Amino acid sequence: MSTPYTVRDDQSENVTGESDITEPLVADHRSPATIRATNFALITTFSAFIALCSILAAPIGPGGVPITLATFGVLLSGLILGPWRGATAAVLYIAVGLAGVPIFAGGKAGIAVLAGPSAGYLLAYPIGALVAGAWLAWAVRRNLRLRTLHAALAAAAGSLAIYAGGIPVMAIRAFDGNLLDAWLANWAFVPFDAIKAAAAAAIALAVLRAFPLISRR
Amino acid sequence: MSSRPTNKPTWRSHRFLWTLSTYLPANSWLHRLPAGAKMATVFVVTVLIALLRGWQFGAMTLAAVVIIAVTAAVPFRQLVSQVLRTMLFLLLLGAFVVWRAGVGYAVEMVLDLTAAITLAWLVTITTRTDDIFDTMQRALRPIDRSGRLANKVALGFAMVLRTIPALAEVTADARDAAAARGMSRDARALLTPMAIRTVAHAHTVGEALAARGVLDGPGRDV
Repeated sequence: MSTPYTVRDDQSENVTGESDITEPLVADHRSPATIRATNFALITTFSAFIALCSILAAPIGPGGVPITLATFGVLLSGLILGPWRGATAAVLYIAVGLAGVPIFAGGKAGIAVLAGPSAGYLLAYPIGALVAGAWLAWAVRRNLRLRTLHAALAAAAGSLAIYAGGIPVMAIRAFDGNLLDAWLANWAFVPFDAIKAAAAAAIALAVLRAFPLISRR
Repeated sequence: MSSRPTNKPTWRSHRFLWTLSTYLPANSWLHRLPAGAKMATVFVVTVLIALLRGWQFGAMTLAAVVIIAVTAAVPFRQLVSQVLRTMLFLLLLGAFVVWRAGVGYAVEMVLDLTAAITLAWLVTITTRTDDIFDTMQRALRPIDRSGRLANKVALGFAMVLRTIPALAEVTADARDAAAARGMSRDARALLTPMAIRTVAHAHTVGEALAARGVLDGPGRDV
Protein backbone atom coordinates (compact mmCIF):
# COMPACT_ATOMS: atom_id res chain seq x y z
CA MET A 1 0.00 0.00 0.00
CA SER A 2 1.52 3.28 -1.02
CA THR A 3 0.94 6.60 0.64
CA PRO A 4 -0.88 9.18 -1.48
CA TYR A 5 1.75 11.79 -0.69
CA THR A 6 5.53 11.80 -0.56
CA VAL A 7 7.24 12.08 2.78
CA ARG A 8 9.75 14.92 2.66
CA ASP A 9 12.95 13.67 4.17
CA ASP A 10 14.75 16.97 3.75
CA GLN A 11 12.70 18.53 6.54
CA SER A 12 14.75 16.71 9.12
CA GLU A 13 17.82 18.53 7.84
CA ASN A 14 16.87 21.77 9.49
CA VAL A 15 15.99 20.48 12.92
CA THR A 16 19.29 21.62 14.40
CA GLY A 17 18.97 24.95 12.64
CA GLU A 18 22.65 24.84 11.82
CA SER A 19 22.87 23.73 8.24
CA ASP A 20 21.62 26.93 6.64
CA ILE A 21 24.03 29.56 7.85
CA THR A 22 27.16 29.00 5.77
CA GLU A 23 26.19 28.36 2.23
CA PRO A 24 23.27 30.60 1.33
CA LEU A 25 21.04 28.98 -1.27
CA VAL A 26 19.81 32.45 -2.19
CA ALA A 27 21.60 33.98 -5.16
CA ASP A 28 23.25 37.30 -4.44
CA HIS A 29 21.99 39.72 -7.10
CA ARG A 30 23.35 42.86 -5.50
CA SER A 31 25.76 45.09 -7.38
CA PRO A 32 29.20 45.77 -5.85
CA ALA A 33 28.10 49.35 -5.14
CA THR A 34 25.06 48.12 -3.23
CA ILE A 35 27.17 45.68 -1.24
CA ARG A 36 29.61 48.47 -0.35
CA ALA A 37 26.80 50.82 0.68
CA THR A 38 25.11 48.06 2.68
CA ASN A 39 28.36 47.32 4.51
CA PHE A 40 28.65 51.00 5.36
CA ALA A 41 25.05 51.12 6.59
CA LEU A 42 25.54 47.95 8.65
CA ILE A 43 28.59 49.49 10.37
CA THR A 44 26.85 52.77 11.23
CA THR A 45 23.65 51.01 12.29
CA PHE A 46 25.50 48.70 14.65
CA SER A 47 27.40 51.67 16.07
CA ALA A 48 24.04 53.18 16.89
CA PHE A 49 22.89 49.81 18.26
CA ILE A 50 25.86 49.72 20.66
CA ALA A 51 25.04 53.30 21.69
CA LEU A 52 21.42 52.36 22.32
CA CYS A 53 22.44 49.30 24.36
CA SER A 54 24.73 51.53 26.39
CA ILE A 55 21.97 54.06 27.11
CA LEU A 56 19.15 51.54 27.68
CA ALA A 57 20.35 50.09 30.99
CA ALA A 58 22.96 51.98 32.95
CA PRO A 59 22.90 51.34 36.67
CA ILE A 60 26.18 51.73 38.56
CA GLY A 61 27.73 48.33 39.08
CA PRO A 62 30.13 47.07 41.70
CA GLY A 63 33.55 48.70 41.74
CA GLY A 64 32.21 51.95 40.35
CA VAL A 65 32.27 50.69 36.76
CA PRO A 66 28.74 50.72 35.38
CA ILE A 67 27.05 47.58 34.06
CA THR A 68 25.30 48.15 30.75
CA LEU A 69 24.26 46.19 27.71
CA ALA A 70 27.09 47.85 25.75
CA THR A 71 29.26 44.74 25.67
CA PHE A 72 26.21 42.79 24.44
CA GLY A 73 25.99 45.22 21.52
CA VAL A 74 29.72 44.96 20.86
CA LEU A 75 29.73 41.14 20.85
CA LEU A 76 26.62 41.07 18.68
CA SER A 77 28.28 43.42 16.17
CA GLY A 78 31.32 41.17 15.96
CA LEU A 79 29.32 37.95 15.68
CA ILE A 80 26.89 39.26 13.06
CA LEU A 81 29.12 41.54 10.99
CA GLY A 82 32.34 39.56 11.29
CA PRO A 83 35.67 40.78 12.65
CA TRP A 84 36.43 43.84 10.52
CA ARG A 85 33.03 45.43 10.13
CA GLY A 86 32.25 44.62 13.77
CA ALA A 87 35.43 46.26 15.03
CA THR A 88 34.82 49.29 12.82
CA ALA A 89 31.35 49.69 14.30
CA ALA A 90 32.87 49.69 17.80
CA VAL A 91 35.53 52.25 16.78
CA LEU A 92 32.86 54.53 15.34
CA TYR A 93 30.81 54.24 18.55
CA ILE A 94 33.84 55.27 20.63
CA ALA A 95 34.64 58.20 18.30
CA VAL A 96 31.09 59.59 18.44
CA GLY A 97 31.09 59.30 22.24
CA LEU A 98 34.51 60.92 22.61
CA ALA A 99 33.34 63.87 20.51
CA GLY A 100 30.79 64.67 23.21
CA VAL A 101 27.55 62.85 22.36
CA PRO A 102 26.33 61.24 25.62
CA ILE A 103 26.28 57.61 24.52
CA PHE A 104 28.73 56.09 26.99
CA ALA A 105 27.58 54.10 30.02
CA GLY A 106 25.47 56.20 32.36
CA GLY A 107 24.90 58.90 29.72
CA LYS A 108 28.50 60.06 29.95
CA ALA A 109 30.36 61.64 27.06
CA GLY A 110 33.68 63.02 26.01
CA ILE A 111 37.29 62.35 26.84
CA ALA A 112 36.53 62.33 30.60
CA VAL A 113 35.79 58.63 30.15
CA LEU A 114 39.40 58.07 29.10
CA ALA A 115 40.59 59.59 32.39
CA GLY A 116 38.45 57.22 34.47
CA PRO A 117 39.22 53.70 35.73
CA SER A 118 37.05 51.96 33.11
CA ALA A 119 38.80 53.45 30.05
CA GLY A 120 40.50 50.14 29.19
CA TYR A 121 37.22 48.26 28.87
CA LEU A 122 35.86 50.88 26.48
CA LEU A 123 38.99 51.00 24.34
CA ALA A 124 39.05 47.20 24.12
CA TYR A 125 35.53 47.02 22.59
CA PRO A 126 36.89 46.90 19.01
CA ILE A 127 39.25 44.08 19.99
CA GLY A 128 36.35 42.21 21.61
CA ALA A 129 34.26 42.51 18.45
CA LEU A 130 37.27 41.48 16.36
CA VAL A 131 37.98 38.35 18.42
CA ALA A 132 34.35 37.23 18.66
CA GLY A 133 33.78 37.89 14.96
CA ALA A 134 36.97 36.16 13.85
CA TRP A 135 36.14 33.02 15.83
CA LEU A 136 32.59 32.65 14.50
CA ALA A 137 33.62 33.57 10.94
CA TRP A 138 36.30 30.88 11.08
CA ALA A 139 33.81 28.28 12.36
CA VAL A 140 31.29 29.22 9.68
CA ARG A 141 33.88 29.21 6.89
CA ARG A 142 35.15 25.79 7.88
CA ASN A 143 31.52 24.67 8.18
CA LEU A 144 32.30 23.23 11.60
CA ARG A 145 29.64 21.33 13.49
CA LEU A 146 28.31 22.46 16.88
CA ARG A 147 27.87 25.99 15.61
CA THR A 148 25.92 27.05 18.70
CA LEU A 149 28.87 26.02 20.85
CA HIS A 150 31.28 27.93 18.62
CA ALA A 151 29.11 31.05 18.81
CA ALA A 152 29.09 30.83 22.61
CA LEU A 153 32.87 30.30 22.74
CA ALA A 154 33.39 33.20 20.33
CA ALA A 155 31.32 35.49 22.54
CA ALA A 156 33.24 34.31 25.62
CA ALA A 157 36.57 34.94 23.89
CA GLY A 158 35.39 38.41 22.92
CA SER A 159 34.47 39.13 26.56
CA LEU A 160 37.92 37.93 27.67
CA ALA A 161 39.55 40.24 25.12
CA ILE A 162 37.63 43.17 26.63
CA TYR A 163 38.82 42.12 30.10
CA ALA A 164 42.39 41.92 28.79
CA GLY A 165 42.15 45.61 27.94
CA GLY A 166 40.12 46.65 30.97
CA ILE A 167 41.92 44.95 33.87
CA PRO A 168 45.43 46.41 33.28
CA VAL A 169 44.07 49.95 32.87
CA MET A 170 41.93 49.60 36.00
CA ALA A 171 45.03 48.31 37.83
CA ILE A 172 47.07 51.34 36.77
CA ARG A 173 44.33 53.89 37.40
CA ALA A 174 42.86 52.55 40.65
CA PHE A 175 45.05 49.83 42.20
CA ASP A 176 48.57 51.22 42.04
CA GLY A 177 49.48 48.85 39.24
CA ASN A 178 48.40 45.75 41.18
CA LEU A 179 46.95 43.42 38.55
CA LEU A 180 45.76 40.85 41.10
CA ASP A 181 43.49 43.38 42.83
CA ALA A 182 42.05 44.59 39.53
CA TRP A 183 41.49 40.97 38.54
CA LEU A 184 39.63 40.38 41.82
CA ALA A 185 37.48 43.49 41.31
CA ASN A 186 36.70 42.36 37.78
CA TRP A 187 34.94 39.23 39.09
CA ALA A 188 31.97 41.42 39.99
CA PHE A 189 31.18 41.72 36.27
CA VAL A 190 31.69 38.11 35.26
CA PRO A 191 28.14 36.81 35.98
CA PHE A 192 26.53 39.66 34.04
CA ASP A 193 28.98 39.30 31.17
CA ALA A 194 28.33 35.56 30.97
CA ILE A 195 24.61 36.25 30.52
CA LYS A 196 25.30 38.96 27.95
CA ALA A 197 27.69 36.72 25.99
CA ALA A 198 25.20 33.84 25.94
CA ALA A 199 22.42 36.15 24.75
CA ALA A 200 24.66 37.64 22.06
CA ALA A 201 25.57 34.16 20.77
CA ALA A 202 21.97 32.95 20.63
CA ILE A 203 20.66 36.11 18.99
CA ALA A 204 23.54 36.33 16.50
CA LEU A 205 22.76 32.83 15.23
CA ALA A 206 19.09 33.77 14.78
CA VAL A 207 20.06 36.89 12.83
CA LEU A 208 22.56 35.02 10.64
CA ARG A 209 19.83 32.52 9.83
CA ALA A 210 17.48 35.35 8.84
CA PHE A 211 20.11 37.14 6.72
CA PRO A 212 22.35 34.45 5.19
CA LEU A 213 23.94 36.93 2.77
CA ILE A 214 25.24 39.17 5.52
CA SER A 215 28.58 37.36 5.70
CA ARG A 216 29.22 38.13 2.02
CA ARG A 217 31.36 41.19 1.57
CA MET B 1 35.38 72.13 -1.67
CA SER B 2 35.10 69.71 -4.58
CA SER B 3 34.56 71.13 -8.03
CA ARG B 4 31.14 69.66 -8.74
CA PRO B 5 28.10 70.84 -6.81
CA THR B 6 27.09 68.32 -4.21
CA ASN B 7 24.08 67.63 -2.09
CA LYS B 8 25.74 64.89 -0.13
CA PRO B 9 24.33 64.53 3.34
CA THR B 10 27.21 65.30 5.66
CA TRP B 11 27.14 65.50 9.41
CA ARG B 12 26.70 69.27 9.10
CA SER B 13 23.26 68.84 7.58
CA HIS B 14 22.24 67.08 10.76
CA ARG B 15 23.34 69.83 13.06
CA PHE B 16 20.07 69.81 15.01
CA LEU B 17 21.07 66.41 16.34
CA TRP B 18 24.01 67.95 18.12
CA THR B 19 21.54 69.25 20.68
CA LEU B 20 22.25 65.84 22.16
CA SER B 21 25.79 66.97 22.97
CA THR B 22 26.98 68.03 26.40
CA TYR B 23 28.41 71.37 25.20
CA LEU B 24 27.49 74.39 27.36
CA PRO B 25 27.69 77.52 25.19
CA ALA B 26 29.48 80.57 26.62
CA ASN B 27 32.30 82.90 25.60
CA SER B 28 35.31 82.54 27.87
CA TRP B 29 39.04 82.10 27.31
CA LEU B 30 38.60 78.34 27.77
CA HIS B 31 35.81 78.24 25.17
CA ARG B 32 38.02 80.12 22.68
CA LEU B 33 41.07 77.86 23.13
CA PRO B 34 41.59 75.45 20.18
CA ALA B 35 40.09 72.00 20.74
CA GLY B 36 43.34 70.20 19.93
CA ALA B 37 45.28 72.17 22.56
CA LYS B 38 42.68 71.41 25.23
CA MET B 39 42.60 67.71 24.43
CA ALA B 40 46.42 67.52 24.43
CA THR B 41 46.49 69.21 27.85
CA VAL B 42 44.05 66.68 29.28
CA PHE B 43 46.17 63.86 27.89
CA VAL B 44 49.41 65.25 29.42
CA VAL B 45 47.81 65.97 32.81
CA THR B 46 46.15 62.54 32.95
CA VAL B 47 49.47 60.77 32.31
CA LEU B 48 51.39 63.02 34.76
CA ILE B 49 48.82 62.46 37.50
CA ALA B 50 49.11 58.71 37.08
CA LEU B 51 52.92 58.84 37.28
CA LEU B 52 53.38 61.24 40.21
CA ARG B 53 53.02 59.76 43.68
CA GLY B 54 51.30 61.32 46.68
CA TRP B 55 47.89 62.83 47.29
CA GLN B 56 49.25 66.40 47.23
CA PHE B 57 49.61 66.43 43.46
CA GLY B 58 46.04 65.27 42.91
CA ALA B 59 44.73 67.85 45.40
CA MET B 60 46.70 70.64 43.71
CA THR B 61 45.47 69.64 40.26
CA LEU B 62 41.89 69.51 41.54
CA ALA B 63 42.30 73.03 42.99
CA ALA B 64 43.72 74.24 39.65
CA VAL B 65 40.80 72.64 37.79
CA VAL B 66 38.30 74.44 40.05
CA ILE B 67 40.07 77.77 39.43
CA ILE B 68 40.04 77.16 35.67
CA ALA B 69 36.34 76.30 35.80
CA VAL B 70 35.45 79.42 37.79
CA THR B 71 37.40 81.75 35.49
CA ALA B 72 35.89 80.03 32.43
CA ALA B 73 32.31 80.95 33.36
CA VAL B 74 31.27 77.36 34.07
CA PRO B 75 28.16 77.48 36.28
CA PHE B 76 29.38 76.80 39.82
CA ARG B 77 26.42 74.61 40.67
CA GLN B 78 27.17 72.31 37.71
CA LEU B 79 30.83 72.15 38.68
CA VAL B 80 30.02 71.12 42.25
CA SER B 81 27.53 68.54 41.09
CA GLN B 82 30.05 67.08 38.59
CA VAL B 83 32.84 66.86 41.21
CA LEU B 84 30.53 65.31 43.80
CA ARG B 85 29.10 62.81 41.35
CA THR B 86 32.58 61.76 40.26
CA MET B 87 33.75 61.38 43.85
CA LEU B 88 30.68 59.38 44.84
CA PHE B 89 31.21 57.09 41.87
CA LEU B 90 34.88 56.64 42.84
CA LEU B 91 34.10 56.05 46.53
CA LEU B 92 32.40 52.76 45.60
CA LEU B 93 35.67 51.68 44.01
CA GLY B 94 37.56 53.38 46.87
CA ALA B 95 36.00 51.05 49.45
CA PHE B 96 37.54 48.09 47.67
CA VAL B 97 40.87 49.93 47.27
CA VAL B 98 41.01 50.73 51.02
CA TRP B 99 40.69 47.03 51.72
CA ARG B 100 43.40 46.01 49.23
CA ALA B 101 45.87 48.93 49.17
CA GLY B 102 45.24 51.03 52.29
CA VAL B 103 43.60 54.37 53.09
CA GLY B 104 46.50 56.52 51.84
CA TYR B 105 46.41 55.12 48.34
CA ALA B 106 42.60 55.25 48.22
CA VAL B 107 42.64 58.98 49.05
CA GLU B 108 45.26 59.59 46.36
CA MET B 109 43.30 57.56 43.81
CA VAL B 110 40.03 59.42 44.46
CA LEU B 111 41.72 62.86 44.30
CA ASP B 112 43.79 62.01 41.19
CA LEU B 113 40.92 60.58 39.23
CA THR B 114 38.45 63.29 40.29
CA ALA B 115 40.93 65.94 39.10
CA ALA B 116 41.59 64.19 35.77
CA ILE B 117 37.93 63.40 35.07
CA THR B 118 36.79 66.93 35.98
CA LEU B 119 39.46 68.48 33.73
CA ALA B 120 38.39 66.30 30.81
CA TRP B 121 34.74 67.15 31.56
CA LEU B 122 35.65 70.85 31.36
CA VAL B 123 37.01 70.30 27.85
CA THR B 124 33.84 68.51 26.76
CA ILE B 125 31.47 71.19 28.04
CA THR B 126 33.53 74.14 26.71
CA THR B 127 34.24 72.70 23.25
CA ARG B 128 31.60 72.38 20.55
CA THR B 129 31.13 68.77 19.44
CA ASP B 130 31.72 70.03 15.88
CA ASP B 131 35.18 71.30 16.84
CA ILE B 132 36.21 68.09 18.58
CA PHE B 133 35.03 66.21 15.54
CA ASP B 134 36.95 68.51 13.17
CA THR B 135 40.06 67.87 15.28
CA MET B 136 39.53 64.12 14.95
CA GLN B 137 39.19 64.49 11.18
CA ARG B 138 42.36 66.55 11.01
CA ALA B 139 44.16 63.82 12.95
CA LEU B 140 43.18 61.45 10.13
CA ARG B 141 44.95 63.56 7.46
CA PRO B 142 48.30 61.75 7.49
CA ILE B 143 46.66 58.41 6.58
CA ASP B 144 43.98 59.99 4.39
CA ARG B 145 45.49 62.20 1.67
CA SER B 146 42.48 62.09 -0.66
CA GLY B 147 39.91 62.83 2.02
CA ARG B 148 37.79 59.81 1.14
CA LEU B 149 38.10 58.36 4.62
CA ALA B 150 37.27 61.72 6.21
CA ASN B 151 34.13 61.91 4.06
CA LYS B 152 33.07 58.42 5.05
CA VAL B 153 33.70 59.16 8.72
CA ALA B 154 31.67 62.38 8.49
CA LEU B 155 28.74 60.59 6.89
CA GLY B 156 29.09 57.73 9.39
CA PHE B 157 28.94 60.18 12.28
CA ALA B 158 25.74 61.75 10.98
CA MET B 159 24.21 58.35 10.33
CA VAL B 160 24.95 57.09 13.84
CA LEU B 161 23.23 60.15 15.29
CA ARG B 162 20.24 59.72 12.99
CA THR B 163 20.04 55.97 13.60
CA ILE B 164 19.91 56.09 17.42
CA PRO B 165 16.35 57.54 17.48
CA ALA B 166 15.36 55.25 14.59
CA LEU B 167 16.52 52.19 16.54
CA ALA B 168 14.74 53.44 19.64
CA GLU B 169 11.53 53.24 17.57
CA VAL B 170 12.50 49.76 16.38
CA THR B 171 12.94 48.76 20.01
CA ALA B 172 9.55 50.16 20.97
CA ASP B 173 7.93 48.24 18.07
CA ALA B 174 9.65 45.01 19.09
CA ARG B 175 8.55 45.54 22.69
CA ASP B 176 4.93 46.10 21.60
CA ALA B 177 5.08 42.98 19.46
CA ALA B 178 6.43 40.92 22.36
CA ALA B 179 3.77 42.32 24.69
CA ALA B 180 1.03 41.50 22.15
CA ARG B 181 2.17 37.88 22.28
CA GLY B 182 2.17 38.03 26.08
CA MET B 183 5.95 37.68 26.19
CA SER B 184 6.97 41.06 27.55
CA ARG B 185 9.02 39.39 30.29
CA ASP B 186 11.03 37.29 27.87
CA ALA B 187 14.30 39.06 26.98
CA ARG B 188 14.87 36.90 23.90
CA ALA B 189 11.40 37.66 22.53
CA LEU B 190 12.43 41.33 22.65
CA LEU B 191 16.11 41.21 21.69
CA THR B 192 15.92 38.80 18.73
CA PRO B 193 13.32 40.78 16.74
CA MET B 194 15.15 43.95 17.75
CA ALA B 195 18.42 42.68 16.26
CA ILE B 196 16.70 41.36 13.13
CA ARG B 197 14.86 44.64 12.58
CA THR B 198 18.14 46.49 13.12
CA VAL B 199 19.81 44.51 10.33
CA ALA B 200 16.76 45.00 8.09
CA HIS B 201 16.96 48.75 8.74
CA ALA B 202 20.65 48.74 7.75
CA HIS B 203 19.82 46.95 4.47
CA THR B 204 17.16 49.53 3.62
CA VAL B 205 19.56 52.37 4.37
CA GLY B 206 22.31 50.66 2.35
CA GLU B 207 20.06 50.41 -0.70
CA ALA B 208 19.10 54.07 -0.32
CA LEU B 209 22.78 55.08 -0.11
CA ALA B 210 23.63 53.01 -3.18
CA ALA B 211 20.72 54.49 -5.14
CA ARG B 212 22.04 57.98 -4.43
CA GLY B 213 25.67 57.07 -5.13
CA VAL B 214 26.63 58.74 -1.88
CA LEU B 215 29.74 56.67 -1.25
CA ASP B 216 31.12 56.83 -4.78
CA GLY B 217 31.88 60.54 -4.96
CA PRO B 218 35.28 62.20 -5.36
CA GLY B 219 37.59 63.10 -2.48
CA ARG B 220 37.44 65.76 0.16
CA ASP B 221 34.45 68.05 0.41
CA VAL B 222 34.20 68.56 4.14
